[in-house]
Amino acid sequence: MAGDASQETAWIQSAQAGDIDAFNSLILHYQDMAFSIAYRMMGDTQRAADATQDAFLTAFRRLETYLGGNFKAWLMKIVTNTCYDALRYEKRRPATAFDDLTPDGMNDEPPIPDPTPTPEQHLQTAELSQAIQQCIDALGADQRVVLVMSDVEGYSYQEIADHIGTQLGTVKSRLSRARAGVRQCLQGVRELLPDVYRL
Amino acid sequence: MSAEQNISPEEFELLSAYLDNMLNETERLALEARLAENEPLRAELEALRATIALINGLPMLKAPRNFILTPQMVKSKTEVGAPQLVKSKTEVGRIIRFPISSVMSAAASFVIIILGIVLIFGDQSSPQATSSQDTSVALMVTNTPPSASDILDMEQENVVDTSPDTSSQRGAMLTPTLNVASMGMMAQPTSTDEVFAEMAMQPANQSDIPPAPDRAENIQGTQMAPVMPMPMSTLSATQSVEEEMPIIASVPADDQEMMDTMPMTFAEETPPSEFFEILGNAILPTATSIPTDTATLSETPSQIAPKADEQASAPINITSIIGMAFILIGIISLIVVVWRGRKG
Repeated sequence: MAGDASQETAWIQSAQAGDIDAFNSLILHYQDMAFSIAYRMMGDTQRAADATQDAFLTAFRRLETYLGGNFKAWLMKIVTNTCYDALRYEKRRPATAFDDLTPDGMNDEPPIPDPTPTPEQHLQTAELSQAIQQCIDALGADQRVVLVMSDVEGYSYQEIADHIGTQLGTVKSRLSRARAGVRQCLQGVRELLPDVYRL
Repeated sequence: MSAEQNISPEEFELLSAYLDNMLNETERLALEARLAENEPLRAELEALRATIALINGLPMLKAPRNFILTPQMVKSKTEVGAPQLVKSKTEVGRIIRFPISSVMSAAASFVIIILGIVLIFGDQSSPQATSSQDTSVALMVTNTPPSASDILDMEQENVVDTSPDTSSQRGAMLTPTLNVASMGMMAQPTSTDEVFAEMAMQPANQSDIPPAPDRAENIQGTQMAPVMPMPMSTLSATQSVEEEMPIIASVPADDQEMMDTMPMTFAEETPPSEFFEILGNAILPTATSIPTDTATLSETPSQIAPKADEQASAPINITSIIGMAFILIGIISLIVVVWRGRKG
């Protein structure tokens, strides 16, 4: 791990000096996580991929603002902000552009879960993940962003409020309503839920 | 789950914040006391905890492609091959973004505003134009003698044309501008004399046309009536109507029809001889040298001007209103464009 940390620091320093290859190494290291967050927020493979690409480009251009610390948190914050701005943009302009159409070689099926074995991933099937994601997608953009930032990314209330520029009480109520919505939505797919999660 | 239906949104918010440890000490103790004695509330808390665990346990997804950057992507302002997404609030240029459509909308708004200004100011200047036109008319009456050929043409049109298809021309003769101009032209003594001389020399080609002098008087008495409405009323007191009646009776049917449409004051009250005296007195270099007994004639153009203003007052108001509406619409459109630009 120490080697990974030092390697990451070297990549960051090289990238800050303008080395695109060094930054691409960071991208390859974090792109699954970034895409996962983007997909949870955007609910669509193509839009999530676009947001992820845009977030990496933004991160490279703003590398001088990274002053040390947790690079993953700094990078995921950019991904979250990019997705949030994209959702707000789409909310104001609810239209499907040609770019939103599925290009060649990329279907709109739910993305494949990362095969990296974890106890939680072994417990949940792809169908359950898809059902949960559909329940998240059914939320409004404001509630969805707060839910993903809190329950997927693990941000605190205050961090979320600072991110999206709203009050702490607003974050609390939005998160409560989002959780209630997902909970109610999952009642329709109870057969997919493990026994320990029967709601 | 039935328990959820018994939970109010406020209670659910308390439960959610409780799981995130976001309640203060008082709220937490109160909620825990309720949970201890409220089974549905406790079940709902567990269901909510399971929901959060499900969301938190969502697997990390594999990226559908690599997102590595290329030098072209870094250099280009917009990403190649991907839709342009809205940048963060902190990025320069995010605050106000004007795409081409917004610029075109703003330009259209400016055009509408300018059009409204033009309408309003053009409308305000129109009374001046009207007064200047009246002034020019007055000058034409007093100071601008037309050429003899022009006068002859005009006279012949007014005098000789007794054919039945002249109703439109008669209508045109009744318009104020033409009448005033005709008055100014008819005020030339030489041209009038020439016309009368020509009329006297012309043989009567129609049996119902009276002899030339009478015809001239008839023409002056009938067709010139609308062109000098103001002085005619002042002249009518000196001669009786009966003296004019034979002349009117000799007018052809079409002219008689025209007589019905024109003001009857002169035709019925003005003697031709008095009218020719007025014509002679009206031949003056300036309006200030008009004799006192014909002062009413010199007042005619200035009296026509207010009438023209009155006639123009209605369209002036409508034009001003339209102009103001254009300006209002343009300003509103501009505000909307700027507002949408700020909103991104």
